Amino acid sequence: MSRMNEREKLLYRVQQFGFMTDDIRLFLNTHPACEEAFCALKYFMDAEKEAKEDYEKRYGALTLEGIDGCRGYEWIDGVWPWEVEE
Amino acid sequence: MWTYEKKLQYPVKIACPNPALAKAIISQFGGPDGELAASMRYLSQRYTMPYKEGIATLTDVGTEELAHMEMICAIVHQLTRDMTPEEIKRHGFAEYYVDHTAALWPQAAGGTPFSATFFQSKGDPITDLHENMAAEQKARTTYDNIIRLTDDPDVLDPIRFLRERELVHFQRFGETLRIVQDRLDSKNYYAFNPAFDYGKRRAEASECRKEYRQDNQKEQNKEKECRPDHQMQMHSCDQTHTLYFGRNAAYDGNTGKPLRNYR
Repeated sequence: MSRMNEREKLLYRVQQFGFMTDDIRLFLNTHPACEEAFCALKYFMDAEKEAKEDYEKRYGALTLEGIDGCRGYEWIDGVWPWEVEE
Repeated sequence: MWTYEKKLQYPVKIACPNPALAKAIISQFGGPDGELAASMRYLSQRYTMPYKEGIATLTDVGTEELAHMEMICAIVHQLTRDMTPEEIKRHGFAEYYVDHTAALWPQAAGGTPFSATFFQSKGDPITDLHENMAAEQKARTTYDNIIRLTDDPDVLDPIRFLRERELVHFQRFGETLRIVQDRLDSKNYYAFNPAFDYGKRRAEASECRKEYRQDNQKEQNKEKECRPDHQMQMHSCDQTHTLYFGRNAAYDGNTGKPLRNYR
């Protein structure tokens, strides 16, 4: 955590909320009637969406939907997930 | 279809390259219990899974395994960056380097290339789910083994995350197995394949498969002619077992006529 730069910290929020939705979704697949889990899923999906928008505003698109019309085609720019920034 | 998100499921940021360690960890990319085999296993099995909970679980876990494959590749890539020829020789990386340089190629730690024989897609949900639970345990053991090989916290952190996911997937597949077993035909005491035999019964009952039914009847009549011992006739599996276990023979052993009150 301590060695994270500003970009990575913002991305980490997306990863945290994204992980919560992934994990809860797996749980719901075998417990589809669990209302508590379904409420949690909706909460974390919203949180992930918000975190994604925060990140994309500053560092570019995470998905094709995240492309900002004013900045042009930015999909090929920026750091790819396996790259280490020097 | 699938879409790509430009992020890892969990961050990978390794400060110190270590090609020798990369050579061990690459097994979780293309090895017998690796993430590629895991993903292909679940995404292949889902087409013959008869229950919606099972289809969703196989689809979502199979998709998550693709994300895990990407994390393993990121770890291997970062452990092998900026290597000098001297480092390659000193770390025992020359055999891999000579064929792949510093590229990612799916192989086991011992050099065996990735193979579809690493997994099974058997078309019987009970068999497949047992395979999947075993596969999650084998992957967990492999991560345990990797954890013993290094004390680099940058590597241990994502490896521990991946290890924990194996436990969660094992749990979900266990629940899926329970759901499948709960829904077995109550007459299917011996848990014969609910995907295949169920489909056969449905095809036989369906109007649009009359031809299939007639052909089937012809086959059965032919069998009757050449084999007077009707107790040996094969039907769908759960019918067969009632014959084998003498519980309630479908045909009268003496006359060869179907029993009216069968079941």
